Amino acid sequence: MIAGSGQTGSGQTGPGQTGSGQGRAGVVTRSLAAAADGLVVVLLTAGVYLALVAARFVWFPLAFTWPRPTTPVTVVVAGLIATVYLTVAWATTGRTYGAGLLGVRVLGRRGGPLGWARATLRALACIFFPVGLLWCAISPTRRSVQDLLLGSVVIYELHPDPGVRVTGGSRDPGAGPGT
Amino acid sequence: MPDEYLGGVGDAALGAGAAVAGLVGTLAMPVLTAAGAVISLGARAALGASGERVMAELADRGAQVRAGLEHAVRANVRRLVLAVVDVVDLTDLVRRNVDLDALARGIDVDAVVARADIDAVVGRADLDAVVARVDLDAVVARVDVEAIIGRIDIDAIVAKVDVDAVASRIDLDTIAARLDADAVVARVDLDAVVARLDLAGIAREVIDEIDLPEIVRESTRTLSLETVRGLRAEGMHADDAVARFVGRVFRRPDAGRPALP
Repeated sequence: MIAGSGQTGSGQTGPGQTGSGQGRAGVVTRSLAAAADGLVVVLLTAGVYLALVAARFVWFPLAFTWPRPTTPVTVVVAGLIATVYLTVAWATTGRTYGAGLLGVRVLGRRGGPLGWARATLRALACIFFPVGLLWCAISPTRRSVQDLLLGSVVIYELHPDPGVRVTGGSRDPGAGPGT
Repeated sequence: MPDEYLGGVGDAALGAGAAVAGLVGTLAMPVLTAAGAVISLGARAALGASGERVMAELADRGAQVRAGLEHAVRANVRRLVLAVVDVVDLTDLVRRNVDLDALARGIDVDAVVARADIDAVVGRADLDAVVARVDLDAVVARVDVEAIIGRIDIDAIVAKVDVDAVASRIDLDTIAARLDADAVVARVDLDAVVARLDLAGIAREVIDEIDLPEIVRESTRTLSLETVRGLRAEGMHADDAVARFVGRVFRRPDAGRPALP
């Protein structure tokens, strides 16, 4: 659902990369990052649910009952949370929690940050078409369907500080949710 | 008093008298001779001889007289003294008439000792023989050791000792090498030692001194970092393995190239 690890896009190479895909994260690493991000989204969703429960208990203590959201509602809420989570992470630091854990980063075609628009579109693409991630296993440049559509790349970034932002091929300090 | 003694004394007295008479005669003869010559010279001077000649003759004659007197005295004084010594008991005479205490008081003992060659005296002494004669057991038996110990100021002696210097001379390595550590440990009653220890208190103090939460945090952080590094490395290897597999399936020329240089 989440595909937290990014997928590549335009086929252009970022700084320190080659057209053959060297330095770009592969399907295993990105899948593991996506799994970690999925877990994060589940926890965030549970947190939102508990927060709503707490608010309901505070406002209606006598009539309090545990809310039982339907599956569609749960899925929609989880999808919204995932969209916000991935968009913010990719637009700011390029790293979600899973990406930071696995040491990868999502960048634009020129090696800079994705930007809010492309980050939002990429988040929606990953949520509605997570299978597109698997294309990076077949792609010689390790690009997923989402990468191909939105011109993004996912690179290895294994330095000890997983929260360093990469802008225009240079690294700027800045912690993000990926840490 | 025995007769022999009286006879001996009489003979000595007679001998001394004869010696004195001979001495007087011997002494008087040159004097008389000189007197006669002087009288003769005085008469000749008075009869008109020149004064200078007379004075020269008088001087020569006086010198002869003086030499004769000296010879006579040297020849007879020794005999006279020996005769007197035979008669007189000098020791008794000295005892009666000489104040020996006054003499002793006048002796500068320090000067005498300073002049004495003590080393030479000691060198001549047979110390072994002296020591062999000494009854050391008897001497030691007379010594009051407790009284001597009571007089010793141990604190003052210890205060003078340079303990650092003494300790610096001690070769602890050699001493330690001689120690039989096993034997020492074998004598130790470890159970008694452990029974005296407040293990709970010691553990509490140790825990209080150690920042255990920080150690746990650091250990967890290190462990987590190592785990993450391992996970990343394994992920990259898996990525490369998948890429190689796919490359072989699609017969790509760079299927074996790794993702990272």
